[in-house]
Amino acid sequence: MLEKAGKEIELERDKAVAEIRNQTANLSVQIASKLIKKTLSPEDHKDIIEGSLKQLEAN
Amino acid sequence: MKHTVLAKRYARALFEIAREENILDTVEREIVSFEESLQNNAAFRLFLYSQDLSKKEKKEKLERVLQDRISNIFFNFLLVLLRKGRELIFESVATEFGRLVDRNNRKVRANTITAIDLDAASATRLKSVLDAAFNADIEIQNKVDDSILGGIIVTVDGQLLDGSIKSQLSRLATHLSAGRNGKS
Repeated sequence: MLEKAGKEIELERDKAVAEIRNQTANLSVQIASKLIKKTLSPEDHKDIIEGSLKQLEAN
Repeated sequence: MKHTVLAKRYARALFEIAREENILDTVEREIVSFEESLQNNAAFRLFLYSQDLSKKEKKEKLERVLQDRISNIFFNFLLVLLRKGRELIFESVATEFGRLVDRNNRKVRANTITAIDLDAASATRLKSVLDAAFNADIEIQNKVDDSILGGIIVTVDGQLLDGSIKSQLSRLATHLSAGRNGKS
């Protein structure tokens, strides 16, 4: 009985941790997206595109 | 290695001139038949690749045999190879030339998405990279969509190349949330 309860608690805790991790990850990415949108200059955009093209060339 | 770079340069030059003069087909035929002669005719091969004959001798013989039978552009190209002592790269040039012609004949559409409008220089650069990557004459239709945040997404021939910041971030999110899930 106690053992079963302990397992369930552990399971619930794992779920909660995963959920928090998930939400933190999503939130971080949302914040990053907003910052990126705000701060990239046209020159930065060009550089990033150039980076993708270089990769394409290398493959 | 250097051989190939050189051959590419020569092929590109010949290709551009032939295209400008509108005789791409003619030059292609000539280059193919010249290459066939080289492969099938041992005497011709020995002559062209010979180290004992002087440039002058080779030039005179080529003039006698070919001058009035092939286009000026291809003939002059052969003379340039002779003058520079680069007969040996002819076959590599022919291969590369064939590739350029194929590319020129293969029109393929690419759909691209960028976060900002592409200026003329970037569009040209994009085209030349895609042309080379897909060995085709690529026609680009670009759409601006700032939700991709940055970078570029390319779709060609049903193939998707996603170099957007949005997808990099979402990979990051997956990575972060996967972590060492639960088992700490």
